[in-house]
Amino acid sequence: MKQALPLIIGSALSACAMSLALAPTLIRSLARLGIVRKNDGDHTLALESRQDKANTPVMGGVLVIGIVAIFTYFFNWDRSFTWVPIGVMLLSAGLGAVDDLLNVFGSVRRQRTLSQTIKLIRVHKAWYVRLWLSATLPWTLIKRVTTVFGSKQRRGVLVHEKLLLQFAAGAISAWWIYWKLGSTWQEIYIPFSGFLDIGILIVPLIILVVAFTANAVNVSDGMDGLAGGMLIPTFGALSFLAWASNYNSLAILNAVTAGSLIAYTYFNIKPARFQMGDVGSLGLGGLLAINALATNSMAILPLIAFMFYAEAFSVIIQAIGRHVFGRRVFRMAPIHHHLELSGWSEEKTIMRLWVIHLAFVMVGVWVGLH
Amino acid sequence: MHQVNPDIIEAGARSVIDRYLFLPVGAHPSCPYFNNRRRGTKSNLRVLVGKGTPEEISEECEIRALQNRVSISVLSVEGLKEFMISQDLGVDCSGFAYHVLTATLAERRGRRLASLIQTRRQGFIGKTIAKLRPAENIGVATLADERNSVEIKASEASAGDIVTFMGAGRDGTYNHVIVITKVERKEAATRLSYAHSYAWPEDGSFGHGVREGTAVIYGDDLGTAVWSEPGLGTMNAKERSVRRLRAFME
Repeated sequence: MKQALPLIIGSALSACAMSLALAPTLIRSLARLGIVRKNDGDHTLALESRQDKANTPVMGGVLVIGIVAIFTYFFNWDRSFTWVPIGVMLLSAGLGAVDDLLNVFGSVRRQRTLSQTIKLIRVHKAWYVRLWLSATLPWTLIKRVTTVFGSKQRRGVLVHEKLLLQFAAGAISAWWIYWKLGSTWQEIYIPFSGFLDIGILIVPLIILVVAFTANAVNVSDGMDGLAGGMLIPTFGALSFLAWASNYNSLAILNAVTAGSLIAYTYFNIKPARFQMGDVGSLGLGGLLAINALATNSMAILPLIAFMFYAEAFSVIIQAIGRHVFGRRVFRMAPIHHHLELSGWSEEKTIMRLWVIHLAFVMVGVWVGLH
Repeated sequence: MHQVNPDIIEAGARSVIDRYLFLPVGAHPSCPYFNNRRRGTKSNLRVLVGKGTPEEISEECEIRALQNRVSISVLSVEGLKEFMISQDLGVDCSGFAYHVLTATLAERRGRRLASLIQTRRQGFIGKTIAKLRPAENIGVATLADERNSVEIKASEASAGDIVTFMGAGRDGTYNHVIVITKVERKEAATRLSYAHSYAWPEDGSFGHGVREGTAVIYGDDLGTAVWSEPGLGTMNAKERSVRRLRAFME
């Protein structure tokens, strides 16, 4: 076991060095291609302290996703363990990339309300349009319902489309894991108790955890350095737990991710030279979920991904407060915006959330070792 | 918990009225009038449908200012009120009455108004919605419902009672409510001080909102009352009455 440690740490350092070397070129390329954060339709940029974030290159997460995928393909390819995480990461990152590009280059998308659709069904002169609108009414309903979890979006992939694609990505991963990889992946380790074989239920669980975790990391990526800084200890902890369980290929995969994230965060700290974008946050969120499953850490995911889940739940709580009780719970969701609006500076908010997250990651590692 | 003087509204309720009159935001404008009837917004924040507390309205105003890149600190009272109206921020008469009466009941009996009011909503879903969103579901008709309030003589009015105007407006579908804040009696005359949220035609685009006034009533006939706001006297309501909430009587 001990012999693997230098290799794991060496892999992390290599990924960090490669990322550090490539980051400046990526930043220049993103800026040259005009893949930068737009000012219109982004309410968070209205805050005085955040107005300088407009025109910052986005899709910086490509750096981490690319390094992790390439490094794993060439040096750490293992059909039983690293194949699935990389596949899930690339699927999620692909979805994120489409969203990022549509946000930058896409045109404003019109969203019809349910009552507008019903009115059109009644009054439209073409029968086939009426038929189409009637047939797709349930879809329109889903579309409207899912908007409660998103801000007033004008461009990019809409919430319902994102959720659908994430569920599809989760379903593909779950199918592969359940039917192709055998029993190793079908059990969940419960700390202090042992392995629990949940059989086919692993399929919906994987779909749910992958989609939720990917979105949780996505909503946390709202301040310079926040998501990157929190992902480092999380992937570091997963690497340690994988090493402790003798899953060396997974330990290397997580270490490489953490190493690359160190370089990413270096350039992402305020004032950010680039931002992660959905390509990074959704990809790394998916990778985190699937690696937690692979390293028997799914039960402790709420601890090692504590702040991500807290951020995601703050969005859900805000939506429930708004649409069920008619009141705001937070001044703005996710919670990092609430803290900033409550008077904390961006730096203070980020560093405090890092520290809180780190403490929970340590608790998670301790629990995970039992 | 106990009312010291039944003719003067409790300090907590007075504080709510004062915060509506001088909102805790920027230059402290009075709260504008906003009725959701025209907009028809559903399933949203109560502050966006004219049912918010002064704090919620102020907070929403700050958030809207940030979103619209407006600096609240440099706006005058009129400028800030104009901005709030442009953002559909304000309170309607029943929203105002709900929050004032809630504060009154909390101080007088330590109870929540919402838990003592019978909703007019029907069915399980309707009643559940009314429980979850009391401010939006306690309108003038609910307050004036026989199950929730009883008509009293004007000469017997006390602070915390309400005056309801039912079936007003051109189409006879508008209702209005005012909250009595102070009562003074002198021989045959009763002088009521009240507070309410309303928009008179003469208020123009920016003069409307929460305000206070007085009415002098001789005997028990509300029709003979002399109102400081003449519109309340000439309002073509089918029914007007001074009412006391059963919640205060139990």
